[in-house]
Amino acid sequence: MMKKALFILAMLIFTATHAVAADKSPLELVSVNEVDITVKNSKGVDEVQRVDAAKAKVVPGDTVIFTTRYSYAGGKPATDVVITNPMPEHMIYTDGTAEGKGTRIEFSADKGASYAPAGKVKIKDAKGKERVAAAADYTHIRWVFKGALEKGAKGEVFFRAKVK
Amino acid sequence: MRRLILTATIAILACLSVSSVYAAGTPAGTVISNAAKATYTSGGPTVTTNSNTVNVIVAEVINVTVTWQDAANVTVSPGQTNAVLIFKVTNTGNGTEPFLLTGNATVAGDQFDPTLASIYLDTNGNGAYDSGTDTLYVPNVNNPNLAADGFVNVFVLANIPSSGVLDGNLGFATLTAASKTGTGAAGTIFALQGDGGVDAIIGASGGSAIATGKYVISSVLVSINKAATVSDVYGGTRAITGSTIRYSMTVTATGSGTAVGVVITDVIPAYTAYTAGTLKLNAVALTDNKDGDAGDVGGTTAGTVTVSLGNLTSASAVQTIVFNVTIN
Amino acid sequence: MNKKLALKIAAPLLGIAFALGAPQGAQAAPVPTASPNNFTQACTQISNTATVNFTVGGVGQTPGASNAASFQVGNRANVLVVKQNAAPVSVVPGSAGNILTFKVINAGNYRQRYNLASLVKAIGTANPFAGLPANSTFTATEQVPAIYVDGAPGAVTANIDPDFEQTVTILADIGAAQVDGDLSVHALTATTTYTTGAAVTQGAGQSIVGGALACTGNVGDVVFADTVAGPDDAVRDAVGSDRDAYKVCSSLLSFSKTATTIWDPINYTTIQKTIPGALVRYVVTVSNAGAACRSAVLTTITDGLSGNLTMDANLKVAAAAGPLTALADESAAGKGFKVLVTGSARALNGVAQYFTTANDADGVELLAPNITATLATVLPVEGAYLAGEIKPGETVTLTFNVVIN
Repeated sequence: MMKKALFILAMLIFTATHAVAADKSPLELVSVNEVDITVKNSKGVDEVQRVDAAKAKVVPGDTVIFTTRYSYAGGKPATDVVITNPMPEHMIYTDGTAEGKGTRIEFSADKGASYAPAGKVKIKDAKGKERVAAAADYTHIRWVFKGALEKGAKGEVFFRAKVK
Repeated sequence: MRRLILTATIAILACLSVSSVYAAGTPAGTVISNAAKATYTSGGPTVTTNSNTVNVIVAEVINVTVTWQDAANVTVSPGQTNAVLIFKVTNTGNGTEPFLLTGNATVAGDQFDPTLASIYLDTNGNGAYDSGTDTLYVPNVNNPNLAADGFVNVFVLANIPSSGVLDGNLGFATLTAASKTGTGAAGTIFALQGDGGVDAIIGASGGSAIATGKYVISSVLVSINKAATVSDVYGGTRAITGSTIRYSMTVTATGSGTAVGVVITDVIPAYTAYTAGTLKLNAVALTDNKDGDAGDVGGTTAGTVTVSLGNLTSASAVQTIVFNVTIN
Repeated sequence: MNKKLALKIAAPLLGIAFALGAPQGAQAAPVPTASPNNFTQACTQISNTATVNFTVGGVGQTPGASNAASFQVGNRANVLVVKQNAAPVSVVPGSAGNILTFKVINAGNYRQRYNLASLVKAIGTANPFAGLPANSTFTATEQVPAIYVDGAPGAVTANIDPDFEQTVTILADIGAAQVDGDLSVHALTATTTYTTGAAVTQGAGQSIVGGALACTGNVGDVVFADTVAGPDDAVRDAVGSDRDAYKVCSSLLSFSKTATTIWDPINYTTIQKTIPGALVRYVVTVSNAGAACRSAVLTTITDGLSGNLTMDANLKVAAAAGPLTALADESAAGKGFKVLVTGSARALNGVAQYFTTANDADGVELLAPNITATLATVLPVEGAYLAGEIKPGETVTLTFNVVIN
């Protein structure tokens, strides 16, 4: 019981910190980590539920859905919007899982120095030979918005990655 | 179940170990059973292992002997009944076997044929026929069942013809003992017929044996020669009134036996009269009266000379009896 | 319960091991496994932060950042028990302390300890290896204690970090009566516990204090990740297991004896019967099966002669004639015992040897009632052969005659 109480307290602290830090930009981002778990519903049928990763049992091999929700509160339309998400440590991107409505998705295998669409990212191996980077090589992922965001625009971009 | 079987095996072995040595060999049905034992190593400690147990079951050999036991020809007299011949039937095989006994008195090679009367088994085992004690043998009723090396004395009783036999004539009788399992040439096999169901094999005896016993007629012939010498009163030899006739009888025993209680009688001829005091036996005068000596005249039988010669054999001296009569 | 008992037994023996100065008295430290999973360690915090760049009216704005959304990696409990033999351990009958070797591997992402148990599998258990026999045929007796961790007796592993392993052995003794090809199957099970020794329960967290894996707060929940059932454990039970086997490697002797009546004094060789005076030929055959794993070294072969039998000292040859004394000797007068080796690379392969049955140390002696062949003398050392050795596929045949008394 003690341990559980401590855990919840920790979560509250995280939430509070974020509220202070992200309050300054009119284009507000909120990151959420979730996992899909299969449970039996009241009818006894398997049902996939999406739950907060921090409250689920996430162990190596599990897939986490990283979602960034955005909302624009500025007066004029925001243009050239790019959301960048470095691949969290211990995670491997699951190829083909990044999505974002109205965006062009690009990946970097060189810690954000260069980006290219999936399958066209190049990486140099230890001998300097260039090859196409695999999903596991991706260090960053970005969503380049094709249009402008009007005031009040809301949406989300997400990708899936597996715990090493 | 297993324990029972084991116990049985041990019992058999125990029996074997105490069995004495048989002349006839290892008893039929004996299971000679053993297993070889090996010790070896194969990377580990020494292992001892036994082979399968091999059973050799001794088959039965059927053999029999019959021997005539009498030390010499059995002396019989003409007309004698139930004259006894002694035989011994021995099972020389290695199994227990019943034997059929057959007597036969009509045998070639002898001078007379006795008549088979009966066969007796030596019930009390004393080797001598005891009338009233020993058991009459009835074929296939009380066939002697002899164990290996076992024997039985058998008495063959026969009657001797009363006539037509002479002293020294031999009469043969045989006794045959035949295995009830079977007889035949040596080597004949009677499958599963032996003791305990083993095979039985006819041995060298053919499963049957015969022995001949012999009777000999013992008779003695007493012959009498009678001579008469006449001497008349004139010094001649005419048989006229008053002439004396000297009768001289010589009695001779011939043959093999003893003429027991030979008594010579001679009737005084008609028209003659015994001359008193003339009876002599072997030149020794005998009184005329019937008294302690060997002869009398008219004492035993009227008008008859009677001389008792006692027992006579061929070895006895010729007996000479002399007496005189006078012609009336 | 089991663990306690095992520890109690192990403790005094450990003491003895030390007193004897046995080098393996102490448990060695776990070593890295050959094929690590490199899982993210339990209690690792994974945090994600997205940033956004944009312009408004052509003017670049201050990039925005999301909150740092984080979660903690849970305990993926998975233990593997892996036998270290590619084939059953070859053992000989009557041998002690034969070793089965396993590795207990922490294939999870959290330091664990494991309770060990050995199982002697019942006769009929499937052979854990390809090949024959298909099922176990006996049960080897495990020693007390049976389990050694890195050479030290004990039924509990050290604390094993993820991707580390310890060697666990099982010691068992083989019965002297076991025969070539016999198989005994044994299993080792390892049950995951916390380093405290407390049982691991799925879903329940445990604090980690100290060490490389230390983290504040909860480790997070335990997930039993053993998704493949071992031979002696179920799916997702935090238990690992594997089976290994002992296979007896020995000679495979067949040992048979026959008795044949070859001659009788009446019918000679025509339907001869076992009657007194008959000749009975005994043939004792010892074969080491071609499929046998090992040679046998024969010491002696003994046969007892019953009181109803007399040795035929001359090994007479049956003929359709008699008497016994007129029969020819197979070899020579007095040579009553024949030994023949076949299927062998020995010089005397296929060549009959004849021995006297007299007590003259020629290798075959008759000491009533037993006739004994001493194989070391009969089959001496030669080339690749030990004295008395018969290799797989070889046969020794002993022949002698007896006469029924």
